[in-house]
Amino acid sequence: MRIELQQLLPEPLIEIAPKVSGIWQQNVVLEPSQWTQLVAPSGRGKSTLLNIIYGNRTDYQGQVIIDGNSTLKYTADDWAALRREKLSVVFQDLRLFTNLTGWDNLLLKQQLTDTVTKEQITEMATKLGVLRLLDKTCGTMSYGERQRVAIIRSLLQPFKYLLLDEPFSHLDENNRQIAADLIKEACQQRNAGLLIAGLGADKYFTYHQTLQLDETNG
Amino acid sequence: MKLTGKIFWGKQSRWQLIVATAGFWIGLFITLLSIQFFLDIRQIAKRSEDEKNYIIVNKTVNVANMFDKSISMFSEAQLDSLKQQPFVKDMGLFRTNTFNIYADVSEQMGLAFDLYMESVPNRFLDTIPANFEWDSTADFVPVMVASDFLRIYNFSLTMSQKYMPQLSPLTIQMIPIKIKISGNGSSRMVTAKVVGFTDRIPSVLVPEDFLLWANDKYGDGPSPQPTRVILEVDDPANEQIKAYLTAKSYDTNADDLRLGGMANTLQIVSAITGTIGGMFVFLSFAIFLMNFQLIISRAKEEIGILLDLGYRPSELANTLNKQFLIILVGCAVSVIAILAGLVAAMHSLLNDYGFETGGTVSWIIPVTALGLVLLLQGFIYLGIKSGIKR
Repeated sequence: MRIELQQLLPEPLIEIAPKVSGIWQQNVVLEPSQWTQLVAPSGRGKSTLLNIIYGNRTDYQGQVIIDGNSTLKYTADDWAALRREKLSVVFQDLRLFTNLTGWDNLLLKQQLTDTVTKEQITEMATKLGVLRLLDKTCGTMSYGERQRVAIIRSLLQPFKYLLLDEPFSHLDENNRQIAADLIKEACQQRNAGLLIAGLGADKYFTYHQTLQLDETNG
Repeated sequence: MKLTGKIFWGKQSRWQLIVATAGFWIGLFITLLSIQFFLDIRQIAKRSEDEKNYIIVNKTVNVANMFDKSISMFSEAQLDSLKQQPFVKDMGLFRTNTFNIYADVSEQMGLAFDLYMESVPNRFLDTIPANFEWDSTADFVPVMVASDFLRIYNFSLTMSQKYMPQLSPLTIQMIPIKIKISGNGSSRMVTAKVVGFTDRIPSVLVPEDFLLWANDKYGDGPSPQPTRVILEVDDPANEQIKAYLTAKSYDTNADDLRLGGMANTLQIVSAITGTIGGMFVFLSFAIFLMNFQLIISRAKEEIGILLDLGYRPSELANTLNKQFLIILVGCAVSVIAILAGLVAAMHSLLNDYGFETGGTVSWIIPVTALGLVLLLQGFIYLGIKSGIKR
C-alpha cells in the first residue's frame, strides 16, 4: 500500500505552522512496505497527522492518496473496509473500551476478520506479560498494561500499513523490546509498511526514512 | 454482535432504557385500552340504535275499551293508512291466539296457568334461534319470551314468593312445558320449550304458522284484527311519527332510550380517555426519544471506537435498531396480551349487566400497536443514523 501526503495542513495549524516542515505543505510518499519514523516534539501535530491518514479528521487542507485514490472521496464503508483489511493503528489515547475486559476488547477486533486465532492472542499476551490481566476490565489496568493490550489488538487483523502513535511511552525497556519484536514480526509476515510517531529517534526498528514534522534539517 | 450489544447497555444507559420503556409501555397501554373501550361502547350503542329502529304501536286504552275490546283492534283501513306513511319502512302484524291455552309446569315448579301467545313475522325478530320452527307433524312448539319477562320473574316475582326458584336463561330453556290447547270442541296436548329470548318484543312468541294453524283449528271464529303492529322506521326521533301517532291516539314503546343514553355517556367518557391516552402516547414518545438520544450520545464515544476498529456504520445501526425493535415489539405484545385478558374479563362483567361486547380484542388494536411501534422505530432509525454519522 502506498500512501501519499499532498500539501497537507491541518486547519488549526494554518496560523502557527512553522514555515519549514517535513510534512505540512509538502508532498511526502510512504512507499509500500517502507518503515518510516516520524519525529517531533509533542504538540506539533503527530497525532493529528495519524488521524488524518486514518480518516478521523477532516479539518485539513490538501489530501491523502492511498493507492492512487484520494481519501476525500471515501465513504463510511470504504473507511470500514480499509480499517479492517489494510490499515491498523495504535492511537496515543489507545481507544480501548474501559468498561470491557481485555479479552472483550481484543475479540471485538479479532471477530471482524478472524485472521488470528485465540491461541496466537494468548501467545502474544503471554510474551507481553498481560495474559493474566485480560479478564480484568481495561478501566482497572495501568496505562502501560492498556498500551500492551492496544498493541496486541492492532496486530489482530490483516494490514498493509501500521500506524503507531508513541506506542511505547509507558513501557519499560524489556517490554519495549518484546513489543517491537512482535510488531516487526507481524509487519514482516504481512509485508507491511510502518509509520511510528515518537518524540525522538529510537533503536528498536531499522527505518527506511525519518521525517521531521518540525524542521527540515533534523 | 453480542459484544457490541454489551458496549451500548452500560449501567447508566440501562436505567435510561428502563424509564423510556416503561413510559412507552404505559402510554401504549392506555391508548390501546381506550380504543378498545371506545369500540366496545360503539358496539353496544349500535345495538341499541338498531333496537330503536323498531317501534311497536297500539291504540290507547280508555274506559270504552272496558266494554268493547274490539276498539283496540286496527281496522284494515287504519293498517293501510299506517303502512302508507313515509316514515314506515316495513310493518308487521301481531297475531294472538283465539283458542284456549293452559300451561302446566306443576312437575317442575308446582305451577299451572292460562297463557297467551303472539306471533310476528320472523323478519321482525332481533334473534331467530335455530329451532324456532314449527313442524305440523310434531307435538312440539318453540317459544320465545321477552328478556324482560325473565327479569321480572327472577327479580320481582321470586323475591316475593318463597317457593319459586330463580331461573337462569339456560335452566329455563331445559324445562318442558306441557300445554293443552283447546276450543271448537276439541283439544290437543303439546310440549313447549323456551328456545330463546327477545329484547325487542315484550311478549310470548310462537312461530306465526303455528298460531295461524291453531287459530284456524281451535279458535272461535276467524282470526281477529291485530291490536299491535311492529314498525321498522328510519329514525324513531322523526317528528312526523310523533305527530301521526298523537293525531290517531296511538301509543308506542319507543321512548325506551335506556341503552342509548348510557352508551352516549360512555362514548363521551371513552373519547376523553382516548384523548388522554393519545396525549400519554405523545408524552411517552417524547420521553422515550429523549432517553434514546441520551443513550446514543452516551454511546457516541463507543460508536467512534467501533468505527475505528473497522465496524461498518450500517452494521452498528442494524444492531441497535434490532435491539430497540425487540424492546418495542415486546412492549406491544405484552400490552395486547394483558388487554386481551382485560377485555375477556370486562366481557363477562358487562354481560351481567345486559351489555353485549365481543369479548375479544379488535383487529384495530394490533394494527394500531404496529403502527405506533413502526413510527417510533422510524424515529429511532433516524436518531441512530445521525448518531453514528460523524
